[in-house]
Amino acid sequence: MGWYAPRVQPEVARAIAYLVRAGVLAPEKAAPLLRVARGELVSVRVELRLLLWAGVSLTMAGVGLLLGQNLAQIGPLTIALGLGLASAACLAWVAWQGPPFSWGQQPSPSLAFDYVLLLGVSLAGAELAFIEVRWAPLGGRWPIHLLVLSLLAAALAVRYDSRVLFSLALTTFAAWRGVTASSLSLFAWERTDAWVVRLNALACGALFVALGALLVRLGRKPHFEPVAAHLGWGLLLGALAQGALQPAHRDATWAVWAAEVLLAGLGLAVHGWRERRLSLLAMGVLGAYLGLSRLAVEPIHDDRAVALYFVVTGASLVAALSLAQRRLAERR
Amino acid sequence: MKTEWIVAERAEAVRRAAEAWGEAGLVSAQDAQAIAIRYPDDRVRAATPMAVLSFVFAAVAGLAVLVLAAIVLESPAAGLLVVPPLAIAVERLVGAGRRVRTGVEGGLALALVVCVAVGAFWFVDEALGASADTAARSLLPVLAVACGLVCWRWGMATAAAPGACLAYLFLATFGSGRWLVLGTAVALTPVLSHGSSHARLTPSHRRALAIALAVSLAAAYLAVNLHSLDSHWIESLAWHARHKPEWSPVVRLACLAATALLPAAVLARGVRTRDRLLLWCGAVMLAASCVTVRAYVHVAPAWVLLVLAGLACLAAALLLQRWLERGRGAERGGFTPASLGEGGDPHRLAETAAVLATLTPGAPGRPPEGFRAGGGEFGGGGASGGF
Repeated sequence: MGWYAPRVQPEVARAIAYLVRAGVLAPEKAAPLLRVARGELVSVRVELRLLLWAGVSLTMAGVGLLLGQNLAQIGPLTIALGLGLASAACLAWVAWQGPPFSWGQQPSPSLAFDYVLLLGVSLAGAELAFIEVRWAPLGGRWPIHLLVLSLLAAALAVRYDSRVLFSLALTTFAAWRGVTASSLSLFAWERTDAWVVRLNALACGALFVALGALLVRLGRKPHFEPVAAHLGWGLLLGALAQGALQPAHRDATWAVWAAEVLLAGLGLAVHGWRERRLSLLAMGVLGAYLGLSRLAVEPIHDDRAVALYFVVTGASLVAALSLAQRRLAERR
Repeated sequence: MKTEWIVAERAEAVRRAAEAWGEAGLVSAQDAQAIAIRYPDDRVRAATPMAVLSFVFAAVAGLAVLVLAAIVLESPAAGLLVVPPLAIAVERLVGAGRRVRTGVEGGLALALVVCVAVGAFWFVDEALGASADTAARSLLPVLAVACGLVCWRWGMATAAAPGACLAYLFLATFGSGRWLVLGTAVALTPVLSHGSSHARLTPSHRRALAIALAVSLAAAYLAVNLHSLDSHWIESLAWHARHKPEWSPVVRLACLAATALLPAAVLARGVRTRDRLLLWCGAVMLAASCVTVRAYVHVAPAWVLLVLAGLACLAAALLLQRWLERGRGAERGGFTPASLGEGGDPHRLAETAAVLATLTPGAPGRPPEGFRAGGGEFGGGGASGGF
């Protein structure tokens, strides 16, 4: 519960008094800290952000229902105009409030800034989708509206330095290629287009990882790199894992996928270890373990041996992780 | 908990607070460092990704031991045999190993609770010869107590959530479950509230009590919510007599009033005591009460309500922020919109995940043929869900 500050922290209040006596904290600095520790001053910043997120999500859910169920009553032109105006109003406010452009990191001008930007882009996306479905200006290439939305979101994310919007741009790009969390779920291998989705996921994943590396190399919004790298590696490992976990009787290529997820996971784990990026290391280890377990367990037909495999590998990995953690602590 | 564990926990609370003050700019980095030196850490800890991995693999290993023992002994009684070694392992890891939140002790504790469940089920079902229904029902209090012990002994506060939920679920299985749940929640709430800020308790125990308080408030609200009453949600959990009683108008009226007043009371209490947990609980209850009203009264079309609710949330957040910022010292009544160091990376990650989960459009499935309710193929910017 790191994001939840308890109402009172008696030990912290006692410590502040001690630290003042010991001369570590100046009394004037200690006074507000003491109020926080006693629960007399509480920040509601997290709650305000949560309220803003709920506002955007509820509004977009309502817009979704409006478009789905009330087309006949309201009329397409009115809906298109209404959405366009609402989106334009949000983006105009963002343009008015927005800080000057910089390739580096910039603090958000206000708490609501990111969310109004998000609402504006989401409304623009709904507008694009609506126009495409209603009047089909793109004809057979109608999914391109997702690409357009993705590019718009990416451009605005870079302009206004919004990592949340950048991540939405990447997932919208993946959605354009048919890749979503549900299409990559472990049970989606039954889909007839599972192969295509998997290959698209691999391509998107590689593209995102490469994009992240490029951002760092060029020094252009390098703080966006973690978003691109985590989404990219998530897609790569997810696609490989889905292939590895399909039933052996259904597709004989499962072993190839399992070997690939094992190798990719190992590679990512080594990269994560070298770069001290523990989240990537964790993703890599999980991927490698999944691939290894699939390859090791499939040929075993004895339940005892399977259970023994998980006892031995689980305990070994716990020991290895403890060792790795100790090494990290020593180097720090 | 042993004294040395308590001392370590209290020191950690101070270090974390100093870290948060440093992040919020309330103290300088040097001051935060000086505080950390005064309250040194003698525990073995792990970074969050490593702790998550260790938790997963320790749980896998622990549960595999249970399965292996059950196969070898050809009986679920193996669960009871595995409990002592697992308990000793966790005790040694937390004690002599001085491990805190490294994931290993948590994963093994999870495996331990599962072993207790399997062993208890076997004992009641086979050793005592009770029916499978009775055995399953008896699992609820056993698991609740096991979670409580894990909380109390090793300071794993998150175990309080399943523990409290299982305890209320057990109460709901009785014939008059609704009133048992309500009575227990009402009786426990002041005790838990008092305990969650009691100076003599350790930080982890206070967190556990705060979690139990949230579950109790949720249970109380569920017991008095009008829709839950009319739909007999709690009565459907009763073990034997699954009758659906006809509620008297007085009971319905009381529940109607409680559905409206309980969220307001919890919110008011949260504001008065500046308790964020109560504010969250009150806000969730308020949202649930609004949904309940919608179930009985057709106020307006769903899309209108959703858009209005969304705009109301946005407006409330903006107005509240502005109102607080304009107060003396950018605070009013002890509330400030400024950061005091809470949040950080986990919060940012949760925020991004929530945005992606709710606003990422669906993948195109087939060519457009016009809007269809409940589709999901078309969309952009989060509008896909309702298309």
